[in-house]
Amino acid sequence: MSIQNYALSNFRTEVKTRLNEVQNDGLWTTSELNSYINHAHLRVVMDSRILERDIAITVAANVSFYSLPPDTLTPQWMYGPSLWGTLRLFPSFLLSLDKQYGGMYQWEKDSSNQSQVFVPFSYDKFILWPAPSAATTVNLHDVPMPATLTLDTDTTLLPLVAQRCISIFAAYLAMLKSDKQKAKNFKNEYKQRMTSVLELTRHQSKDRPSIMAPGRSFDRSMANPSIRAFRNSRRYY
Amino acid sequence: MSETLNKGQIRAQVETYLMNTSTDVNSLSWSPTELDSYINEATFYTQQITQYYEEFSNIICTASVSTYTGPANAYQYERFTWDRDFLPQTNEYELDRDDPSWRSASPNNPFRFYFPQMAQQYQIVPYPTPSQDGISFIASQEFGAVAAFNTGGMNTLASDPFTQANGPLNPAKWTGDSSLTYSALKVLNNQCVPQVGNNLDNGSAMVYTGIVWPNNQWAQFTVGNLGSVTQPWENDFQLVLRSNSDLSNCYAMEMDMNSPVGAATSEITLNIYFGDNVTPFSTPIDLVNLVINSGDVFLFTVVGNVLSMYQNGNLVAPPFVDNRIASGSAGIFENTFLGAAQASAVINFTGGGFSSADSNYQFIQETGIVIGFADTNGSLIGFRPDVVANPFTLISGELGELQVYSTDELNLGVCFTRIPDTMVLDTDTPQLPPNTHFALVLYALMKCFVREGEFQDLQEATEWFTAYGDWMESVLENKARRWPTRVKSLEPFEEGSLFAKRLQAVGYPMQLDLKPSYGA
Repeated sequence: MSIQNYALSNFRTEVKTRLNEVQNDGLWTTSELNSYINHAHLRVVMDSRILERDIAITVAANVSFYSLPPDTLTPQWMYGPSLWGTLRLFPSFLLSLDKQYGGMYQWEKDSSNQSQVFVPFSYDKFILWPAPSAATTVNLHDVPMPATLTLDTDTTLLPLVAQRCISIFAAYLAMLKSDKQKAKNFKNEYKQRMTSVLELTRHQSKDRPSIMAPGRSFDRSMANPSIRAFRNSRRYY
Repeated sequence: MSETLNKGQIRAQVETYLMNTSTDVNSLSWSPTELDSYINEATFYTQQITQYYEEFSNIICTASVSTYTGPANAYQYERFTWDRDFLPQTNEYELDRDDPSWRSASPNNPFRFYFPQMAQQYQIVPYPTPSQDGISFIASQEFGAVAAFNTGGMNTLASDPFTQANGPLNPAKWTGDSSLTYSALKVLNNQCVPQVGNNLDNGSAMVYTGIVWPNNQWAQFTVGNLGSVTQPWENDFQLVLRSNSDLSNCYAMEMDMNSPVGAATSEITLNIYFGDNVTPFSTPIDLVNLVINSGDVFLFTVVGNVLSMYQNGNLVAPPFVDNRIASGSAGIFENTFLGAAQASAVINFTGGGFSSADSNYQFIQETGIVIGFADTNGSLIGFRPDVVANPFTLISGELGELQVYSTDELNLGVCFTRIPDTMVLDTDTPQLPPNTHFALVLYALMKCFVREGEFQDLQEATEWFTAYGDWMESVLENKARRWPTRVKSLEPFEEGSLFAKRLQAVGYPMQLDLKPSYGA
């Protein structure tokens, strides 16, 4: 028994079927459909965040400002190298660092050392604090951008349940060119299918809930320097 | 077909949706210029919605100077520091309330700042007025940037000062155009000049064949005489690199003198001749209204696939990357058109290659090229690529070289949300993450149908804006899920539509009501 795994040509065939333009190119050219399929591929990864990986980023001594890998879509967490005990690095804010020790700590003048926190900056940068005192690597866990499907035989890393959504969303993007009402139907179908993808993958999520639940029974928040500084600030007591 | 789309690719996708793809420009309902303006607006609007693009800057402080100007590309300020200490914001009312004599306070270390006015470039007043000059570095002989560490220094292999009797150039060094399209150069009064009386099409050109030229090569000469020019004719002289024997394949740095010579009327162009020694295959750089004086030194280099043009040691344009021509010889081309009373002339030709690589330095994007700072303690950012000249071009290590560097030490440090740079070239890429690029297509389509005219269709525009909003909702959801352990809010509620919330903050892109729930 084999399990279906969509290649680019399979996606295109399905999209053409949905558009009722099965045979030759008419309103939509092959390259146009390929571009919609790749947009849809990205959109499914954006909505499902299924693909994840660990990637090393080289850091240099005394340099605190770094770029994320160019194909990072959603950065999630970082941990240090074995040189730093592979400890987790916590995300923080510039203003949160400013608030440390009641705002009296001149953190920007700190000497280089083993980095403890990082500050996400802009959409593709981050700052390590303190600046590393030695050249090493830090490890980023992220959701990467999907690889572009170029050849007709190219396949996606997404599981089949998510692959089905690609052709639906690509059909939506293509139909926008012709009939917005029909396009809406495809979009609605996509949203329904995506719910089922998220439902199936929910249990695999390793993220903590994004809301802060009241109660202190399992409160490790003080381990996060960002929160510690926030709580140490007199202004908020 | 990456999801990273540049301006040209975004416009192509917009045109495909519009079926606005005729090659007859006059038949297009939406011109490329119009679409480009929508794409740039889409970039700015999307930046307003996402606030993705942030930047740092320094403002150099001067002792006893109270007012400073903020960066022109700041959209919204996030944080100020002085000498790397956080500066809380204040205003004149608070200062009057807390210290009535604050206006006469003597200069000291600033501990607050305020904005006395918020025009296009904010004015910033640190309080008290700084009492000392901030640390700054300016490109100079000491600190100046080295052009390319990875290629070492320039070696002189060829030279001709043209100090000889009047007549043909030294045949042991120079060879004429093998196709005879161009006549030979000559020496007149110890200067290299073209033959007199050329017709309007041709000039004089020769290739330096006295050495075997390395592939990484440079050539330089000094302007001996600008000549005189009567409009509409011009004089020009060119440095040629990697040329073949008939100059049909070569890179040429061309200096044109227009009337009046010596005024800001001159032109410097980079021409690529490929398969034709008369008409350039392309002219990727064309700089106009420049001043060229007698005695100016022009240098033209090619290292790998990077072409750089210098006037008196200064780079005249961002280096250009081209892969067409790999090897050849250097040479000179000069032309004096009929009507010019006196030919332009050059002296002191030199050329050569580059010494072997210096393996101690390696360019990486994070650290830029080290150019010799003794003190980086005051800098939050050690090094970063120079994006002053062309913020979209980060192709070559040489473009990442720092010309000017300042630290936060005794200066104002600024962190802000950026106004994206306006995209001009089709190869310019929006300064936003790749997952937002396709949304720009949808926004531009909305703008196409909102515009007054026979194709105006507000229903269609609403649909495209809905599609834009749908994509942006996913982008913002993604943004909200970046760094999931980062504390973003203490509100114990899940947020609803992120896009709707940002729309409330930023507003709709026009007065027309496109809110989807109001649809007919």
